[in-house]
Amino acid sequence: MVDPATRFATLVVGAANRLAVTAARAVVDAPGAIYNPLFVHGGAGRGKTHLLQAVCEAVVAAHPGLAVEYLAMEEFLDDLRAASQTGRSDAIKGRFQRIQLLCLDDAQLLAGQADAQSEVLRIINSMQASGRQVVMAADRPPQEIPELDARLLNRLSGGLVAEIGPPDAESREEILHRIAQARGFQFAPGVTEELARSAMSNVRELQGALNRLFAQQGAQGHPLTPQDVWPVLGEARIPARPDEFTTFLEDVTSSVAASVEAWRTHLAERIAVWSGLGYRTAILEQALALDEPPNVDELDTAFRVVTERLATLEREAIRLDPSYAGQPLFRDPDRLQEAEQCVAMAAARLAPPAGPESKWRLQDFPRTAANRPALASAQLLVLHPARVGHLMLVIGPPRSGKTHLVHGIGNALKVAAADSVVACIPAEALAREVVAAVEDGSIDRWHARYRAVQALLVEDVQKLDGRERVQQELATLADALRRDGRPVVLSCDREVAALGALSPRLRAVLESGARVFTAPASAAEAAGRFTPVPEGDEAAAPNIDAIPESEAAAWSAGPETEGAGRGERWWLDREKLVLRWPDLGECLLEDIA
Amino acid sequence: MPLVNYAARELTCKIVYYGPGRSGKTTNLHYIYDRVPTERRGAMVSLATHNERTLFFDFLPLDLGRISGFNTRIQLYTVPGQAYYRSTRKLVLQGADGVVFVADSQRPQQDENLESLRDMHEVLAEQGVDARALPLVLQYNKQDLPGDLILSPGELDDVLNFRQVPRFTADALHGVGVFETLRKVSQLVLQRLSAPAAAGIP
Repeated sequence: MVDPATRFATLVVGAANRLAVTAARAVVDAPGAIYNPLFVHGGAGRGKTHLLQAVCEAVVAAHPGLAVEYLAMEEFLDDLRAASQTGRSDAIKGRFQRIQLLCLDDAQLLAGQADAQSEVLRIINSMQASGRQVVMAADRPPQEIPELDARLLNRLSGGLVAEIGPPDAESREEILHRIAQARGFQFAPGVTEELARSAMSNVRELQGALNRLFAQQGAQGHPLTPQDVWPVLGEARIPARPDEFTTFLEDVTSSVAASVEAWRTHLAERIAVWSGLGYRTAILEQALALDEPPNVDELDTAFRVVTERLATLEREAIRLDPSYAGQPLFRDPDRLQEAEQCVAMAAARLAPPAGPESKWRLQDFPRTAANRPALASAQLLVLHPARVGHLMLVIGPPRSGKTHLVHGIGNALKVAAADSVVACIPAEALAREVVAAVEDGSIDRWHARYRAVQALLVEDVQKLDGRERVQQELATLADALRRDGRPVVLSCDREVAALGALSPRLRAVLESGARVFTAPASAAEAAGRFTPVPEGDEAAAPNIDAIPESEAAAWSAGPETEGAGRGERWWLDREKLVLRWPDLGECLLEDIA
Repeated sequence: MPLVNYAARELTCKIVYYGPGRSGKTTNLHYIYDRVPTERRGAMVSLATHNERTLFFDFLPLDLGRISGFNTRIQLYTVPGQAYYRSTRKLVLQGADGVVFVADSQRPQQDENLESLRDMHEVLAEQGVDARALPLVLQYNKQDLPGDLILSPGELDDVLNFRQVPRFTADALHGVGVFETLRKVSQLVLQRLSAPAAAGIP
């Protein structure tokens, strides 16, 4: 049972317990990640139980839902004995399976208890293996616990062993001050200071002395003075007034604690900081176990350099593929090389998709009478690529110029927006990529790669006939790009209705697009007269290379242009163009249906 | 630098009491010896002449027990103060982690004090030790004598404490200032362990 009063906030930290407290805080920040097991030791009344219970309380507060158990060894031994007598040893084994943090107090009681030692060893092994935290406390270091199993000793020494020494005079004064404050005791100046000057190193003893002073003060009806302290406590209870050597020894003890192992405390603090930032600190923890002091600042600097590199790699990886966010790989300095390789591979994998071939230019597209509407639509698309919901379906028989038109649009888009990524890929190649990505589990990266493009152009979608997964991916991708106002151009050798096995979703996408048609050049056109002399209505048609801004603006204003008094526009051939762009909501309903 | 054996978990410091002859160095050690519990001290080695002048050196080992997991020992030495024992002083001062300079507060001893302080700096320089980096505490002994016979702490400061190191007035014979001096020099010595150089930083 954890006493709610035993929190880190009520723990007095001094030179004698700084390392233990720092390590305990690191455990709270990341249970199971560092110092596992954490073993604290020190004489009676030094605050070991307080520290263990503070860890439990803080872990529960910081990680709600984590199963935490504080257990005095005596209770554990009783349970073990009872389970053994009733033949229910399995109950003990199962009891700790769900515990994420186990704090075992009074570990010195394991001395000579072979069965209990085996059970504790099994519990520690099991918890360590699954990244769960064990914290233990004893009145002596593991190696001084009599008859301790060598394997258990090895396990206990393998984490961090931190000593809690006797509190120095300053800490004693602070402890007494806090106890008095918590209990509402009022004393004349100098009384608690006088008590703190005693050689008592046991907090409970100090607490008892303070209680007695307060009781005496109440009985006599006037405040005690510092001179009253020892007469009140009684000759038998007076700790020998510290002589010169004792005082000297206390000072030296504080100096040694603050100086000799200061590097360990400093390193433990740095580990706690890095661990709090989410980094694995195995390298630093290894240094903590060294016998001789390493150069802590140098270690810390080297660690920081590695973490900075990892952070850079993580940013790069996320840029390439958002699914890399939060990957443990980028929080483990031990795996820097692996992270470098991972990002390099991702960059290679996520290289921009193939673009249009530069030889196909839109301005070179044959301006035959049949192609003219398709060309005009292509011009408008290039002028207003950001029009939401923009999908063009180029339909035409083989050798009708579909490839030229599609690549030409791609090149024109690239010219219109420098540095833009335009994907232009035959449907068969797209299918191969999707299949490969599905097979090696990198479909998320494939998505990221294509969702980064400014325009998607896919040739010969009729070749996706029967490729259900590929059709699904293409439909999803096309929808996503259109929603972002990025154009999608698909080509096909036949009308949508004539396509074979087509997923309903892709069919809806294709049918929602503006269809334009290409046709092979006639003999006369093939002979070079690609731009015939306009006749009739066509004679009044505008130059498609210079579409007036007003027309372009009207076109870009919305999908519905028919019936707006613009039927005279020559390229709005009702037979060739779909002027009514289906509502996206309707498409969605159709998809769901 | 104090000797720290991390493998054996041992910490050993050497503190030398320096100063002119008859300034009270050995008296300091005797006072300490008398107040250290028997189990905490070794035998005090004192080689003195028939009139109690230190002939070679005094040596008092203190075993402070286990502190923060380290078996901690402090070795206290005195040097012979007379001018002609310079080579002995040099030998004793070798490897010192801290020095207590015990000055005689009597007015006529001012030159002796200065000469001894200068001698200490010379010996340290000969040993390649930067005196500014070595923990040093001044002790103005015999301050219990009548005021007209001694220099005040301020006057002694003007002459001896040009580095403004910690200094204590003392009456070593009766123990005044003895442990205060030892405590301070020990503190300075141990603090060096946490200095950057001790952590392996060049």
